[in-house]
Amino acid sequence: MKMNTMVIDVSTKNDEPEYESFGNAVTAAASDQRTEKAESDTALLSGATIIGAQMTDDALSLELDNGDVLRFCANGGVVEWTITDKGETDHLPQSATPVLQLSFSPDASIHSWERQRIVADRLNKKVKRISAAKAWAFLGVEGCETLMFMRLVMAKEGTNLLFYDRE
Amino acid sequence: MLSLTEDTGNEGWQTLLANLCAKHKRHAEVLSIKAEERRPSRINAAIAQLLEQIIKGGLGKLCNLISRMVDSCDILSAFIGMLRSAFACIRDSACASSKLCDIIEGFLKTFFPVVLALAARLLLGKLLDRIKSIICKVRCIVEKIVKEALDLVITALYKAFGQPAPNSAPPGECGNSCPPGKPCPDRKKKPTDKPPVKKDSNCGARCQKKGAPKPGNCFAAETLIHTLSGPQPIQTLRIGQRVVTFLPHERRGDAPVEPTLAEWAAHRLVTATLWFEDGEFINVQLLRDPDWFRMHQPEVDKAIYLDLPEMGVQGEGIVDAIEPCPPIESGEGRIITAAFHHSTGECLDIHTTGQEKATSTTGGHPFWRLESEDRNLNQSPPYFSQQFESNEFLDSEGNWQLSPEFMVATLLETANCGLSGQWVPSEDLRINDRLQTLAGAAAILSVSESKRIQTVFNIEVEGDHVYRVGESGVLVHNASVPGEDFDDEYDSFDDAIGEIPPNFARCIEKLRSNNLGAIARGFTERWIGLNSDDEWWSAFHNPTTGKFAGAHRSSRND
Repeated sequence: MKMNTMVIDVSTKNDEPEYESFGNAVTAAASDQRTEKAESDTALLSGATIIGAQMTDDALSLELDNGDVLRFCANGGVVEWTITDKGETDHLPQSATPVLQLSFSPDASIHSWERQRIVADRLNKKVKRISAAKAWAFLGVEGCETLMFMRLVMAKEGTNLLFYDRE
Repeated sequence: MLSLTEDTGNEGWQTLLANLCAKHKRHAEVLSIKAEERRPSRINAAIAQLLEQIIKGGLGKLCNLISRMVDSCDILSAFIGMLRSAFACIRDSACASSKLCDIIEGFLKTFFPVVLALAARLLLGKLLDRIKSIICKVRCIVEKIVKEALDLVITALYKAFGQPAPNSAPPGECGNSCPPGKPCPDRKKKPTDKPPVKKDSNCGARCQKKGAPKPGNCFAAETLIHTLSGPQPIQTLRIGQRVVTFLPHERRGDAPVEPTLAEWAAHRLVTATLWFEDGEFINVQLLRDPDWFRMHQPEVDKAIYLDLPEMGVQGEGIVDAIEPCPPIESGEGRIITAAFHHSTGECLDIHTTGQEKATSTTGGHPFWRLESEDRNLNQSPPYFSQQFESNEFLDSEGNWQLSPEFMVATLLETANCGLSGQWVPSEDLRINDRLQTLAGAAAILSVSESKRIQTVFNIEVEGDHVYRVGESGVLVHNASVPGEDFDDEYDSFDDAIGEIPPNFARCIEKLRSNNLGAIARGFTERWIGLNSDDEWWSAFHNPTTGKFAGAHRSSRND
């Protein structure tokens, strides 16, 4: 786990394809397998309560009260999610990731990213929906704004950072 | 004293009148002298001087009148002379009839033109007044007929080109048009001149059709709003003033960046009034940037279409004034950028702990309700769980309209409240619900069941879109951020959407993107669409490149 409060230079990548119109973008997403998977996983997890979370720079694991763990991670440029059985292990340890200061290139604008708070706001709330674009992923939680996941690249390290914030 | 007899000659009459005149003049002089003598003090002197002027002025006029009468004595003398001749003739039996005829002829010759002139003037005066009145009435009728005919032609032309007529609202519908035969309210009349009038229970701005905006989210007059200088009645707030919004610990994320003073200076204040056929009105003050003015092109005394459904303001109004940006108060808090005054609104009273007076608010105004473990959420739904009927998005003419409920729900997302809780319409609040105040949580003691009709007000707060009401500063949303529509950049919804996928309906709303990663890539907007299977889709939009990305299934209230 990265314990870092200094400013991190990050850049976005063109992971998500672009379309000329809203309709084209929706058509492409509607026929994508990720959308189908998201629908079936939504049916599986909808109504489960998030009872714990673990954060790393490239992944976010959410412990659910139905015994599953929903894990989002940046696999290359694509945000993927998996559902695994927590098994007999104890609850996931609470992460203590500090607030990160992200400097987005090219304009170097610095933004505070309170990922710990973002996750904490969703604890003890029910999962509503998982949805996906070509590279980005989304998590709807009851009473909260939809969380959007995307891959950022940390300029210095050249490694991925799983970035998530409201839409 | 002179007396009038048949022997009184012309000179006698003149003497009599001259004496009368002289007598009054002397009387005026005497009174004037008496006034001169009564000057014990400077005040009395002034009074005496005034009295003198009045007396002199009044008697002067009287004397002038008498003088004119004296001047007329020649005619009177001639008349009396002829009467005398007639009397003498009657006494003289030998008087020949021809002489009497001569006398009568002389009489008529002298006086008939005068009498005729007087009679003619009297009759013609009345006749002219009558003609003037008829001409005025004819003119009014012609003007009305021409106006109605032009309205019909314009409406027909708009329909012929498949567009809704912007300046014509048929009788019985909302808008600034008035039904034929009924007088329009005076549009220049100030809102304060109009006493509140009772209205239908389900009608915020009267005669609104299904799908039209609900009553604006407002507070009753005298509701205290927390400003930098303390609580102040809502109706006394001014544009450019700062109000208290979030306390630091209540805020989620960074405070939105406020325009600079230079940017504020480029703003202008437009005041407009929407009148309705029953005399109801909504007075609106908007502090807007140059882009808004370029888009709306407001002109004083001209019509302007305002589309703020979540405020109960939707329709054509008349621009009353356009002024430079008022002074922008410095300090903490956020700037009031709009003020709304509805002539009537239905208010319910909410009593909370920590304050003596109830807060009177319209039923739809969003309050921040703190989370409570022992409360059943299903019995008191927040905005985000409200259900929207799909037909709410089409008006009766088939034009695409935004659902105000949906707009409010999405707008509430923009309020970055970091407290655990939800925005809940005031009518859904219940006893023991907890509200956030400046001093912490306060419990609701009662919510009145009956709604009272009264004048209501609301404000729009830049950046945070929240403010604090009542003695204790209850946190409420302004619910007044207008949703942008596609007309900004496109001629029609179809143009905006492009190729519509099979079974896909239309785009519903364009929102600001909040995701830093998406924004960094230029996707500053998020579009939401609804297909015919009632499935919601969302995608990010880059207004610079016009490209879309990140389309995904969504929920209605996400």
